[in-house]
Amino acid sequence: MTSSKHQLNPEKWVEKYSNYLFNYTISRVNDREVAKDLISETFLAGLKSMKNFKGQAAERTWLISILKRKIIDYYRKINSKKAQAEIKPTYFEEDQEGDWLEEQVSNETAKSAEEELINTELGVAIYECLGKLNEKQAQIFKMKTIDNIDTEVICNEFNITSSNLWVIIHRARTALASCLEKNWLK
Amino acid sequence: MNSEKKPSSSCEKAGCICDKAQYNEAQLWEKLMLRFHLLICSRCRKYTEKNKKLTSLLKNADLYSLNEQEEKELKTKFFSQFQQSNYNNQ
Repeated sequence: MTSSKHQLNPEKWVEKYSNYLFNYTISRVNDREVAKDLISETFLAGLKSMKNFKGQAAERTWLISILKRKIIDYYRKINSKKAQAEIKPTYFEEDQEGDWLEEQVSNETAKSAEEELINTELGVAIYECLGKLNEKQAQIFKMKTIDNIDTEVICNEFNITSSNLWVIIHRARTALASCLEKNWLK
Repeated sequence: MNSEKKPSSSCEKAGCICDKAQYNEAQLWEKLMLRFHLLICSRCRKYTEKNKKLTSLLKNADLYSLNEQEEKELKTKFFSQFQQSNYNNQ
């Protein structure tokens, strides 16, 4: 294999991609548990078909393409179980009845479909950009910004000073801004 | 021509304060210092503007993440399979 080709590093998958894949999945299946299962299946399927990886796509893209198929399979499965053509994204139990469309329309506090779609895509884009940072940077940025963990707690966990932390946050923010710039920060 | 100067140490400080401010962790005197610096430094003005936009983007995005427990479960599940497949390949 030539070095210019993409390679797979399964031992890093969970750390590097699970949040990215999770964000992508949960916006499509709307259920934490199902999303976790689908990601787990995706990683395992990836592991099994590593031999078929030709190195033409980046690892992340390759995993997403597996995940997409898993999501489609999941929808097929629940639809055939219910044997109905109507899709009710927020009804998970079979005995839940009601007019889904009407409920959505009457719910004025809900964001518009477009808005929601954009925010979901943005979430995926952010995780994609985070994946390009180095691991420690990404992890610290995520803890500070997304999980809202106290500065002190993070410093203790990584054994760094608060000025170290702010330097890392600064680099992460700069990198993230330039990664998001083209599509989101104009 | 561009009249921007190279970043000085006061720019570095300003950048850091600006970052802290995004998390509401800048002190009052720090914020004042930043204000003054922004009056004279266009480079930092640009950074501040971009940084604010990034903050609001992060706020608007639907970000879901696995908690520690969930990630651990995923890892354990995956690594047991991973080791098995390594073993089978040998």
